Amino acid sequence: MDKDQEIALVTGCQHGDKKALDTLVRQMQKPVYNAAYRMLGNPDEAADVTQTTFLNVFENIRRFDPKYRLFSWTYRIAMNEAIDQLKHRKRTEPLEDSAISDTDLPQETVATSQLGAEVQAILMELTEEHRAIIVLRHFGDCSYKDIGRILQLPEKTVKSRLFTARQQMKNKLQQHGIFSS
Amino acid sequence: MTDQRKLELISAAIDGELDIEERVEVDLLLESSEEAREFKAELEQLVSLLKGVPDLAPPESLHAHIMAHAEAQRVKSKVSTLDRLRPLIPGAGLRYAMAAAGGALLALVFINTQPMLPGTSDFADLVGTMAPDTASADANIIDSFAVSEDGLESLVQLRLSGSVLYLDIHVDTAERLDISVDLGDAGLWPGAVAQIDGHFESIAIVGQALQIEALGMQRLTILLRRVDDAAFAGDAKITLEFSSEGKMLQRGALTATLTGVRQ
Repeated sequence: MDKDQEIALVTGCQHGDKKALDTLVRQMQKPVYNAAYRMLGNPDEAADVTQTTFLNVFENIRRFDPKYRLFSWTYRIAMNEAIDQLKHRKRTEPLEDSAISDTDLPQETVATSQLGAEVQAILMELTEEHRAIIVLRHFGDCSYKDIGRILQLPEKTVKSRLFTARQQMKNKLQQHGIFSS
Repeated sequence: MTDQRKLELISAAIDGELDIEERVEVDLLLESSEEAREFKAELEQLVSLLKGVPDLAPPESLHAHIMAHAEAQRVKSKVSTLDRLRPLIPGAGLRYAMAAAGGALLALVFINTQPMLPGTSDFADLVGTMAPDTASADANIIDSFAVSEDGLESLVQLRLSGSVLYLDIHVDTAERLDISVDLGDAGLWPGAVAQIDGHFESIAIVGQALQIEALGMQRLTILLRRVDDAAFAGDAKITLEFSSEGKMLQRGALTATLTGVRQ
């Protein structure tokens, strides 16, 4: 979606055009769901976060500043919702229960990608801030500038934090024998 | 190589996030240091591994859920500003009447209840029309549409729980409105009609269609059962027409995919 298409889409959504809202959901639900799933490791919670994200987008679209990219803004809402969900989870269940299990994974993952399941398990071992930056860079394909906007960090911090997160990810993958040095 | 800054530069180089000066610096570093080259190769391996993780498909119903909730949110927000809420019918309990005449069945249930969606107890006393459905309040929204015109706001939702479909009609109309609900030919029939809020002028069931007269803000849930669960498998289409004084205002359709469930 180029900038002009995005502006047209946002304008449509701001005027309550149902077709525009529908298009926005169709175009963005998959990346938002994937980002939420990678943050949470639970498909049901990811679906809830995706739904809440779009309801927030619809509710606040009139306040959207077109100098930003729509996907950055939507991702930001999604990441905040996912982090809120993680906080809620911490308040309501013991830490060991939040570990991922195969039964939490969508069938697609279990059936077709053992790698996906293993990577997800390792992602869940990272801190929220390191996981978020890995998710945005490697699963959301965001630039450092976008990540900075989404997580409200200076680009320099993005660079440094991504480096640290990758090192941790690499070490954990090595420990699990998935990654060879 | 333990220089954090240099390692970060190599990490950023993989992402194409360096300016010209930094790029030159990294190039020189890679030329001169075996360790730097190994570090870069490891990072590239990591990036490649993460790229190999497949995207996940969201649940098929997610889009419909989001759009239905968005419509509900929009209508709720509009309705709340109208200040035309009618008081709920006083007194507890259920009042219902069923009549059959000339092949036409009239089923009315008056309910004094706060939630929009009916719970188990709301229907427990219905005689001969349906069994209590423990999942009714948790039924999934499978289709919906909204109508928004001058003097008319409406949200219609179709929910499914087990083999029971729930058709929720939420209408707020300034003029007397006729709503025709055509249940199509998928073997659906109205097991009960539950009036949740307000008071519909009249509700009549004629053949495969319901004729409803409405005025003001009203909410109604129609429980749709299947005449023979095994007889029809496929898309059941329910069509609603909103008209006033003989003039058609809006038309909408809802679809439910039904499968034969009887062994």
